[in-house]
Amino acid sequence: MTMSQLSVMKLYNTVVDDVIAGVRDCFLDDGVDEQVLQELKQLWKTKLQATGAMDPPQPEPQIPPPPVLQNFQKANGNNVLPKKTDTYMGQQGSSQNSGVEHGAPVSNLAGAHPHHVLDPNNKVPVQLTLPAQPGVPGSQPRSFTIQIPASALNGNKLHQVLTGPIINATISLPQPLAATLLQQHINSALAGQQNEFDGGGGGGRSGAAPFSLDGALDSSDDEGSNVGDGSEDGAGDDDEDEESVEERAEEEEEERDESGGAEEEPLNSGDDVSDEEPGDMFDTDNVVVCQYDKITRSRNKWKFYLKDGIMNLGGKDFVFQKANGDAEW
Amino acid sequence: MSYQLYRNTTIGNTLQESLDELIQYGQITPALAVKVLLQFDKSINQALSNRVKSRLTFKAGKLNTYRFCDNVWTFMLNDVEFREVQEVAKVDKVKIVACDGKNVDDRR
Repeated sequence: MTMSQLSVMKLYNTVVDDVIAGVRDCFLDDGVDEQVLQELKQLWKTKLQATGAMDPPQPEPQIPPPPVLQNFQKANGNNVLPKKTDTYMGQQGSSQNSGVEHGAPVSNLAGAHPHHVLDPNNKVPVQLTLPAQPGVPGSQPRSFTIQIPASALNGNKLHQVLTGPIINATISLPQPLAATLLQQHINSALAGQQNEFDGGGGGGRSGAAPFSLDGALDSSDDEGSNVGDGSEDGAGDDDEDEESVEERAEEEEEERDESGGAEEEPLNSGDDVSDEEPGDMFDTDNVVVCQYDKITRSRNKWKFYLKDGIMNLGGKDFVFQKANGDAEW
Repeated sequence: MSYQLYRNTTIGNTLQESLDELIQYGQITPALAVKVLLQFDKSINQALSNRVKSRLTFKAGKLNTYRFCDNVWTFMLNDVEFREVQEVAKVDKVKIVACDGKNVDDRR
């Protein structure tokens, strides 16, 4: 997707300049100072930059690996790559074998400064290393820095969240997209776990790990139809709703504590609400705004012929002249 | 007449926020802001059709919802894989809003 993203910045600059030039006369006619026009241009460009939507794909991070990792590489020499590949395939839960390399903050927390207590709600940067893609020549291991709450460093939460499937899903993505996806996945998964822990460990609900997988990368076809499994909608879906859903969940946890039982019901009722309001379903972070040349349908098979599109996927903008696709209803 | 749907994008929204600020500070009138937005519609429509060359394909695991209203299609797709040559981006959910592209000649 590099091409469609690289052209975004150029395109946006062109549009900004074009708009500013195009309205200069209107400003003059209205007796508005040229300086205000320049201010508009500056405001607009600043805000655009601030969204981060057109940040160019990040080059491989130049940050030297944390000391632990360096020692590891020295000690094992050529074994580094195969070993990482093994571990990411293996999905072991123990901290030494998972496909995740903790950066310096983690090792500080765990080892060198045991008394250094962080606010559990603080975000801590953690460096992850994805192994090289197996079978892809020239593929390199890649590092990202993601932000996770300090509380998630305790125990094995990160390892419960970062399981094989998510690593598999991100391994083939371009760097910025992979980082965004990982971050989103961790956010939603941890938000879900947080709910459970805050609520005093909601007894019979589905375990944290299978739940967390559904948020970002469930590839099964039954999503949306699984009304019975209420836990999925709690944290994995619309960001806008997250707070209210959490609040609702907390309230319901309290109710549940009092009544003791009927564990699935509150979440189901939450699902029903969103089913009845199709408006909610149309809230999503990933949006494509475009024009259609042709939309065809044969039975349940749809084909889309789109053009002149602006997409925002995972917070990044892409543009296309043509985009053809298909789907089944 | 150019389509206004691109106002609901990163570049359109940031323009509207900027205009709102200038209106709040009393530096421009709402009427002038509307003129800027109309110019934006013209510029973005032209830029997209003349300057963008990238071509994508995509494949969705599921068409969740479709809606056709006032010649505008809205789709909710699940498990979508966008592909540009070798590169792939996957998202679990995407909304597509599409206006009729055939009017393109009328509005220049």
